[in-house]
Amino acid sequence: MADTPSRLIVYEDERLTLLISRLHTHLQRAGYQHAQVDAIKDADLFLNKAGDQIIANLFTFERFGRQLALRPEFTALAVQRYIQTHPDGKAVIRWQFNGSVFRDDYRRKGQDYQIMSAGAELFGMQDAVLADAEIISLATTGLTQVTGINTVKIVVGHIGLVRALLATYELDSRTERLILNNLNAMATGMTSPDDIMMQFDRYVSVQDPALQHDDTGQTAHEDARRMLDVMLDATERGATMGGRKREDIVNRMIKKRRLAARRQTIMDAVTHIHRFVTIHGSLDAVYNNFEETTTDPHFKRLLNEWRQSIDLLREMTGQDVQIDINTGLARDWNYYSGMVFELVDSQTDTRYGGGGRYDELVRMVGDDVDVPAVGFAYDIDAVLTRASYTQGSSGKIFNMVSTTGNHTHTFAWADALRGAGLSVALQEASYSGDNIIRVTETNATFGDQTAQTPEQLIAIIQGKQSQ
Amino acid sequence: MSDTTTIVLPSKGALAEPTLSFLKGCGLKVWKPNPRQYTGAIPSIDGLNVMFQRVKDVVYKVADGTAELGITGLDVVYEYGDENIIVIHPDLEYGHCRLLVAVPEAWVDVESMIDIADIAHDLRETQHRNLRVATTYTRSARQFLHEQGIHHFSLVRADGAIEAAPTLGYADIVVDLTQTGTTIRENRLKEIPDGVILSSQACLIGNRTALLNDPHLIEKLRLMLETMDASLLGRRYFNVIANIPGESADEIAEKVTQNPITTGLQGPTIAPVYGAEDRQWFSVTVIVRDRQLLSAVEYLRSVGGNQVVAYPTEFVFMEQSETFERLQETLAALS
Repeated sequence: MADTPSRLIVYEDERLTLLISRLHTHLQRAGYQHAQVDAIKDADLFLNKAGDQIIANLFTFERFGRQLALRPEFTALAVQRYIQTHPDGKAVIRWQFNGSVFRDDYRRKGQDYQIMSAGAELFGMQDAVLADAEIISLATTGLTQVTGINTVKIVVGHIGLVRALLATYELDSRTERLILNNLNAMATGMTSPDDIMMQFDRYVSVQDPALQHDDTGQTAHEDARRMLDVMLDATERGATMGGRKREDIVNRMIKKRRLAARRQTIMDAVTHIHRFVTIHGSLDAVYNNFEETTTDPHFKRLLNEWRQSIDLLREMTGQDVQIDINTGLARDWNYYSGMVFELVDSQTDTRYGGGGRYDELVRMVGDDVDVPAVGFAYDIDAVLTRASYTQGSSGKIFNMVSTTGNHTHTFAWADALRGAGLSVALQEASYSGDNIIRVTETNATFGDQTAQTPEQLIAIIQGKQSQ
Repeated sequence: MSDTTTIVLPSKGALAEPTLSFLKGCGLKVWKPNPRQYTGAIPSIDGLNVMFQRVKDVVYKVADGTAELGITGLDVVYEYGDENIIVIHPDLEYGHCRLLVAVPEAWVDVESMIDIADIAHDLRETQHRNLRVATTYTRSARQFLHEQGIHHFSLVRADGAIEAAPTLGYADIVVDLTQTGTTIRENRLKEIPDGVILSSQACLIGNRTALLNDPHLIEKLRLMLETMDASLLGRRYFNVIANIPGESADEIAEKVTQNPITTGLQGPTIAPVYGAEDRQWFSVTVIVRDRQLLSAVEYLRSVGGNQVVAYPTEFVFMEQSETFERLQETLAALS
């Protein structure tokens, strides 16, 4: 009874090892070399660079005054490694990673902190169209060809296009962040432009009466100098400042005031982005709508590249793989700068993985060069639940039992079989499981057939497997 | 399963004495052999032993099954509790306090959690450091800050004088417990209106496994909850007796019940008064809500009431304890 779960666990472990090995081979055949990165790093690497969602779930701890983190993903680590090994940023490098990543999700009780991940990163390729199509195609064929999951669809978005649109409004980073954080919610109808403007109004509102009115009842809005006096007075009273200076407070206050004055521009930007992320339909219809979105040349160039990537991807993956456009696909917009994608099961909506272009991350991590970069990662747990490949002979273990108690012969037979690529485990005489080979001093029996030599036994086993 | 049950009570701090007073008011007076001892009993319920621990340890002892029941602060349960804890009664109506976010009052640009989120981003972008938050309540603070979209922060764990952290310079803001807000203000901090993480008070907790498996415990708990609910309900009512002249009990009843605040829980009790006067008087007894006491007295006077006597009720026992009913539903869902 205690046997059942442990056998299942062993079986899952075998499947996991096999899956990782096959994905590794799949990526290796495309020129991606395996790279090792540390599991524990200074937390700053992720705190500065990773998106809000990753930071929220970052597993951090302190050790002798250093704030450390368990790696939440591979991308930032890959970038750091690239900078260390190729500081000029000119080399085209293909790396693949696999192993555990760690998440501390404060919302989930009884969570698994350790998650299996595998993926690839492509650095330095100047042809973004080719690089984007290569990465999405590799990620997709990894599922369709290696795991047998044929119901995968590709959902593609483009953070760069959204950012290009936002850039035409010259917004501050706080407002851009507000809009980008709500991108997916807008695309799915969970948040409207009015909801976002309500959040904006809360942010720029000033409720302190001391800041709203002067002695004569005139609003501080109308008298910036008096407002400044009020603030300086307020900050002068107390010595308790936390870690901020008086100038920080005053500057931020002025920033909020300026922002409030730009409300209409921000409303226009939100409406524009909302219209953009809710465009649906066939690929051609979507492209035509996009064309009409703006006349901005940077946007047009990105759109043209994106379209070429998707056309190329279509050729690489064939007509069987569904491609959906979703401009509201935000992923971790903090470091993605261009195309983003997710691999989703078209029947169950299971998310198998995703990735995107992150050209700005190399500069963010610390190098002073621009390096084009794109990558993806699988959620191996999700893939494993649906992978339908068989274990094959390499996964099968033969159990060898000595019927005479003379283990010298058993070792000899086992060595010969192992030499032929078969897996053999030696068992005690009382063993009663499957795939038993019984060995005497002169022969070995597998099923109802007896062999006099290891070569005969191998032939018997191979004969049975081919049946 | 055991015939004896242990309840852990706070041994010191703001909840210690009020807990003993509360239990005494419920008819569950705690017997303690001497003030230095950490055990005792509640004699009014057979086999109900008492253990005294710090509020945090109350949660640990109940969670690990050392005790089946405990009384502590809801804030402490949220901070240190786990899935082995069931909150049986979330509000025993004493020990009220709030766990909240407070910032230096000089931060005149900060009026909501959105502002703090913005400052956290600014600090990360301009100073390459996290917002530093001093607190004892690391779990609750972490969860709340993340929920508010604040991710760039470091928790500075401190066990005392947290309000002084921004002045001393080792934190920017604090997450702290306050009853009246006085200490917060005295340390030149201000509360953030949408920064209240939890409104806390004393609560009754139980060990999940014991509650699901021990019928003796459930029976003792039923008795406790009956008196607790009756006592808590009793505090909200006054017993009002007034003498009113009239021709008949029916006539008096009609007058008194015309106003919903003097209809009582079921209806007024009316009995004749045997006095020397020629007029017929009736004594009306009615239960009224505490906040409606004066209105009720005014109304009874307006219908001829005189010599109105009002006194607080100690217990109001309803058909059965609502809290016990809720607990049974919870346990049924878990089993």
